[in-house]
Amino acid sequence: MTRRPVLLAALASAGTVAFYTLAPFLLWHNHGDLNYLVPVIAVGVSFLAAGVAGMVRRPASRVGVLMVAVGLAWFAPDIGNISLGITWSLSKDFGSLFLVLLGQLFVSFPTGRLRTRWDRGVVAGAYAWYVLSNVAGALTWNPVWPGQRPFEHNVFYAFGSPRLNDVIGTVGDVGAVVLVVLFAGTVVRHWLRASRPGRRALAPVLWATAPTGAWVILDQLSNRNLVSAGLDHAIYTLGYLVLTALPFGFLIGLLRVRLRRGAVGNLVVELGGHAGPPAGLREALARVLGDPSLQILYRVSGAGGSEYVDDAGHPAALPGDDAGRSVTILDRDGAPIAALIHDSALDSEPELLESAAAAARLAIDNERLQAEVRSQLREVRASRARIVEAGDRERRRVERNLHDGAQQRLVTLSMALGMIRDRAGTSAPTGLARDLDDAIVELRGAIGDLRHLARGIHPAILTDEGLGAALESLAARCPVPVSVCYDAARCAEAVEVTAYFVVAEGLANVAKHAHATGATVTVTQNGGGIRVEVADNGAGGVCTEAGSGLRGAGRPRRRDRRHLSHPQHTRAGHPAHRGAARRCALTPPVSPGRTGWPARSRAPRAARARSWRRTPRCSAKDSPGC
Amino acid sequence: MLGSAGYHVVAEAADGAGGIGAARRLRPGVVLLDVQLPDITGFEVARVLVAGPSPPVVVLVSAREAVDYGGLIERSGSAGFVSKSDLTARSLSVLIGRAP
Repeated sequence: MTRRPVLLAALASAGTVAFYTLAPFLLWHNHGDLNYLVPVIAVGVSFLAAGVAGMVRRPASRVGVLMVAVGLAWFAPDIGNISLGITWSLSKDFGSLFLVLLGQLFVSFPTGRLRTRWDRGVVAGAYAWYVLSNVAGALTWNPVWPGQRPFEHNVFYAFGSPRLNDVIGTVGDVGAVVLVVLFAGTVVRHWLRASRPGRRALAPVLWATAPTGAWVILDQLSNRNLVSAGLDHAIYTLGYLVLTALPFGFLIGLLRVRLRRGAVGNLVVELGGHAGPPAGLREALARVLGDPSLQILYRVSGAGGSEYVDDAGHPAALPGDDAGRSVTILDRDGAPIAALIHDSALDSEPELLESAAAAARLAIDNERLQAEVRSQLREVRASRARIVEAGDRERRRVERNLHDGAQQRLVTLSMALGMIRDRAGTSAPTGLARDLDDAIVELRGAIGDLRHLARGIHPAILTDEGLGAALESLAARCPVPVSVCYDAARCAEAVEVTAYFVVAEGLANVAKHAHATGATVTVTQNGGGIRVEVADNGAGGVCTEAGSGLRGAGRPRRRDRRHLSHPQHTRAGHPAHRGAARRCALTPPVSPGRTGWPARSRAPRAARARSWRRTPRCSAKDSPGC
Repeated sequence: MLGSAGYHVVAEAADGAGGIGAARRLRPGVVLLDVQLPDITGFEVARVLVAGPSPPVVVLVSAREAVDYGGLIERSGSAGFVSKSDLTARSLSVLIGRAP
């Protein structure tokens, strides 16, 4: 609705009020009785003001226009106070229009539109009653009473007798009572059939129906002189009170939406801290909108184009037009991102819906961004895991090449030299035998260096025999006596390699700094990963800095492996020793499309892995068992 | 080298399964067993050979060092291990002579 109808309504209202405020003193024959004028103007002004406010606040609803119409119709009969036959006759014969408009207002609240055939039937019946009874009455009414002034005659009188006119009047009154009952019944019917938000919207009308209906019926009886003078006065007082208050009831019904928009502020605050699943968003929105049946559907791009899905990701269709459900589409840059499926009654509160939708859009955006960041993080982690995996593969290859190539040839050469030395025996010249022995020692030294280099690149035994054997090998090379207790299945190679280097660093530090006489390495199963503990009985206490053999233990020096390792108990003293212990849990990274890193599948190795798991093995080199 | 040291080589096998079959058939006095085999590891072959009736003396050899294998050599039931770079008739005799 543009501003023009509002302006027109405001001007018409102001003009009418001004006219009916001034006219009694300028035009009317009775020169303005304030006891009469004040309540009449109060009722009219309240309808007009509430109507204009309604048009401004709720442009989509026709309730405002209807209230303005009721206000104008309310003032209309007062032209009968002008000393003219035509105005007097119009006022007396057709002055009850505002009652019909009031009935229409009741049954069309809160949209101002007649939604069902029944509603339209009742209102059409009311207009028919208004036209038929008033036209019939106008044509047959010829009032005569003592002291009648010249203009007080019905200009529309055509035929008939007072008796006929009485019958018409009685029929009209009965019709009026029937209509009041029908209107009230329609309002109650609307309320009974309405959903929770619908009932909330209808509440002001429902509460106003009983007093308004009672007043209309009593007013009709009073017009027929069927009630006493005292009661008559009470009825008028009741009527003015009810009619003055009525538009404010409707206005509260309209403003209530604006008041409830405050709840949307709370919703924004609530959603600001919302980090849970989208179901939390649905609950919050349903609470603010007062519609427990509210549904949120998200628009996603699927294989078969875009479609809507519910919280759980199941495809869902938008409801049809006649399902009593309405759809509010949330869009971003013109493209729909989600849809709110709600009770159609909420359509009468578009501002509330819009505000709630704006808040929800923020939360949904937030949710989508978080999902995007999580997805990217997962991708980065998977990528890092792939890099580590590729690195391990390459190190394994280099070690294998060294072993199968240079090392093998040197070993062959060493064996050949040994055979030559054996064949030469004691008969060889002294110099030659010594030179051969020197060459053999030198060659063995070279082979030893090469083995050391290869082992540092990648411990082959880890691939061949698993972490348990590799740790035993580490323990065997450690100058400090180390016992190894291994009770875990084989797991992802990246985890085993990381555990190996964690223990290698830990034992190297034990040997260098701890002044320990013994250390233990314990590996246990920890969910999908393993838990590794390196403990010594050295002087380091729980300090992991200089003096402790555990500095750096539990945290691989290679940063690319740190995502696999979670050091724990950095200050835990080992119960069996006075030294220190460092534990770390190692878990396999999750790669996209895989539930974890598969254990290597060669049958003999798998069989070995099972044997590792079945029997925890402990080995001790020169130290008590674990 | 073995021949010159007085050993008679009765058979050679290319993998673990072949080695186990040949040993059962020919019942040699000594089995010189490489740790790295194409099918199963030398440790497993050693365990099978030692578990059989009138087991041979099993000597494990590898291009790697004993320390690379931790406790696996001890648990294999073999008479001992000699690195290929140290493999001479003398070092072999020492191990065989020490065998029960």
